[in-house]
Amino acid sequence: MTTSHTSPNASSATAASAHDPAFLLELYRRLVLIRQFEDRVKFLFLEGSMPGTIHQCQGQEATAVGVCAALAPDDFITSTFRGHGHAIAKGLSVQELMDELFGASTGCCRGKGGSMHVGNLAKGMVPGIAIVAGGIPLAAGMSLAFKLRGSRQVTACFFGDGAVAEGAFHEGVNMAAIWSLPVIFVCENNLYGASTRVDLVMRNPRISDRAASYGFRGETVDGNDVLAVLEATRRAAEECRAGHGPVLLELLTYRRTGHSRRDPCNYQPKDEREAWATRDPIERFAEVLREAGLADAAALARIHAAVDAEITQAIEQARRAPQPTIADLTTDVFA
Amino acid sequence: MRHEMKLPDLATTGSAVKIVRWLREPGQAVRRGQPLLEIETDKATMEVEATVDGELTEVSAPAGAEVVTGDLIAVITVPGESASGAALPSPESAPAAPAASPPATTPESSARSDSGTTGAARKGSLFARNRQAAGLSTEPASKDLAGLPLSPAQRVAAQRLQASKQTIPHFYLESSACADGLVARRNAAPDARLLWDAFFVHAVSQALAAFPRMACRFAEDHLEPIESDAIGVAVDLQGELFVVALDAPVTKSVEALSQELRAAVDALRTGDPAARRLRPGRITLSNLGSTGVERFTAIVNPPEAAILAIGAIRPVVVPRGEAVVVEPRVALTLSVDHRVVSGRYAAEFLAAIVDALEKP
Ligand SMILES: Cc1ncc(C[n+]2csc(CCOP(=O)(O)OP(=O)(O)O)c2C)c(N)n1
Ligand SMILES: [Mg+2]
Repeated sequence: MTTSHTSPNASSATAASAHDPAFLLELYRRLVLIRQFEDRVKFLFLEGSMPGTIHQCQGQEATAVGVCAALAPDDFITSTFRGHGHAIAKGLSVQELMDELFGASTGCCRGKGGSMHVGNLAKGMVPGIAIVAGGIPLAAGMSLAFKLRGSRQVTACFFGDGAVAEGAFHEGVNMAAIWSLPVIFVCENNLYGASTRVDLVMRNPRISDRAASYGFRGETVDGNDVLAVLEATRRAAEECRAGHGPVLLELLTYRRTGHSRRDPCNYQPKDEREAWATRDPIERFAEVLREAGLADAAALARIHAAVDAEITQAIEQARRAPQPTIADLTTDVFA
Repeated sequence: MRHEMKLPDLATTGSAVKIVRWLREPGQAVRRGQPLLEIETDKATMEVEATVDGELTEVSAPAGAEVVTGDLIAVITVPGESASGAALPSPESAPAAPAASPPATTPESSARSDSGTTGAARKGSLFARNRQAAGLSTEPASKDLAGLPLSPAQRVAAQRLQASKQTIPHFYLESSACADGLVARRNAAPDARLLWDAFFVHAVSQALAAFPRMACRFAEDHLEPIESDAIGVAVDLQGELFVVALDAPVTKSVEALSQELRAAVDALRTGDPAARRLRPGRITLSNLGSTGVERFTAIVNPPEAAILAIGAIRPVVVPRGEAVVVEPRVALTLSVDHRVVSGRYAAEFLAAIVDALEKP
C-alpha cells in the first residue's frame, strides 16, 4: 500500500501550472472565505449573538477545500460537528450557513440544525453528524446505494483522528471494503481528539496504514497543501468511479483554535503551535500563487476585502432573518 | 459609543463563572481579539477576548466576582460612530484606524422571539432562558439563591472529596514524633522563616523511598505506580482548597523545598492558572498545626493512597525510663486506602516518617 508525503510547496509550485488560473484563485477565495467566516463567527459567539457552542476549523481549511474541489456537484460529503468549512467548500452559501447559526428559519436546516449540523442535501452535503465516527457507516450505506443504482457518484466521508478507534469506523470501513464501495474516507488528522493527543490513543499513529488491513489503498497527504489534497482526492475519486474503491486519505493538519469555543486549548504545546503556524494552508497557497505569477499582494488583498464584504452582508441579513415560529415546532422533526 | 461587554457563554453547564483577573486596566486601550480577562469556568481557566476596539472605561465585575452568561462585565468606549446604523468592524481593522463599532446587538435586542420572558429570565444562556420561560428550573445558572455560593474550585473539591470518602475504604493510624530535633534545626537555620511543611515533606519523601507501595493507586485488579514523583501540600486560600505539588522532594534540601512552597503559594494567590491546575502527587500532607489543633484525620486525595494529617507541635509530658520529661511533640495521623496497602505496611511507613523526623 502506498503512502506519500508531500513536502511543503515543492510539488505545489509545479502542480499549480497544471491548473486553470481562475480555478486556482477560486480555491484561494474558498480558503479565505472559510477562515474569515470562522473568525467572524468566533466574535459573534463572544458577543452573545449566537447560542450554544461552536467547533471551528481555522488552520484546517485546505482539507475541506482540496477534497470538495475534486468532487462533482452531485457527489456527496458527510461531515462532523466541525462542519462549517466542509459546507463552504461543498458550495453552501455563506448566507444559508450564517442564518443557520443564528437559528433563523432561512438557514440551511431551517434553523433547527445549528452549528453542529449544517448541511444541504441539494448541494451534496448530509447535515453534520456530531457523533464521532457516526458518518462512516452512513457514508458506506450511501455509497452502496450509488453502486446499486449504477450512478457514478462518490461519497467523501470526513472524520477526525478521534474516529479511528471507534467501533463504527471498523464496521463502516469493512463493509465499504468488501463491496468495493465508491467512498473516500477522509481522515483529518489534526493530532488531537478534543484534548487527547493521537499518540496516547494509537500505537501506530499512521492512520493511512489502517487501509491495508482491510485490503484497500491508503495514503497520507500534507493536509495543509490544498493542491496536494486536491490531487490525492481526484485520484481516489477516479478509482472509486472505476469500481476500485474505497480509498482512505489521511490528511495531516492542525487546529489553530480550541476544540470548541469553550476550550482554552492549553494542551497544545507552544513549540508545536508555532511550528504549525509556519505551515498555515492559506499563507502557503498565497505563496504558491505569487510564485506562479498568478496574483500579487494587491490581488490577494482584493480577494480578502471581497470576502469580508460578503460575510458582513450575510451577518447583517442573518440578524434580521425570521426565526422559526411555534407552528414550525414539529415540522422536519422525526423523533 | 458605549459598548457593554457581556460574559460570553463559556461555561459548559450554564453554571456561574469566576473572574480570576483583568489583564487590562480602566483607561487602557483594548483591541478586538486581545485577551482582556481571565475566567474560571466549571471546566477550565481561560482568557476572554475583547470583541471591539476601544478604551476600557469600566470594569463592572472585578477579580473574584462570580457572574453568569450575559452579565455585564465591562464597559468599553468605542471611538467614532453612533450606536445606530453602525457597520461591523472587519477582523483586520488596525487599532490606529478609527474603529467601526458593532451593532449593540445582544440576545435581548435581536430579532429572536423571547417575548414573555421577564428581565431576570433573560439572564444566562439562551437555553437557560428558554427553560425559565417554560417554567423549568434554571437552578445551576442562578446565583441569587439564598445561602453561600461555592466557587468553581470549591465545587470541584467538594465532588472529589465526596467521591473519595464514599469509594475509598479508609483506615487511620495515629502516632507522634518528638520535635526537639525539628525545632532545633529550624532555629539554627539562617532563614528564620523556613516553612514547617518543608520539614515534613522532606521526612515523608525519605520514608516513601523505602515504601514504594504507598505511592501506588488502586486500579481494580492491580496496583499502578502513580506517574509522579511529587508530594502535595494542602493549602487553604480563603476557603478554597488547593494542593501544591513539590516535584522530586527526596532530591531537595529543606531550604529548597521551603522556598519552592512559598513561591507556589504566592502564585496561587495571584490567581496564576498554571499554579491552580490540579497535579497528581504520590501523597498529600495536610498541616493544621498553626491553628493549634492537636490531631485530626484527613480524607485521601485520589488517586493517592494516603494523606498525612499533622497537628500542632506542643509540649507533652513523656515518661522516659523512671523519669518524666517534657518535650515538644507533633501528632501524626495517616489516612490510608486499604485496597492499596495493609495496616502493617502503612504502620511501618508511618514509623519511618517518625524516624526521619526525629533524625538529628
Ligand atoms: C461517540 C462520541 N463520543 C464522544 C463524543 C464527544 N466528542 C465530540 S468531538 C470529540 C473529539 C473528536 O476528535 P476528532 O475525531 O479527532 O475530531 P476533531 O475534533 O479533531 O476535528 C469528542 C470526544 C462524541 N461526539 N461522540
Ligand atoms: Mg482530531
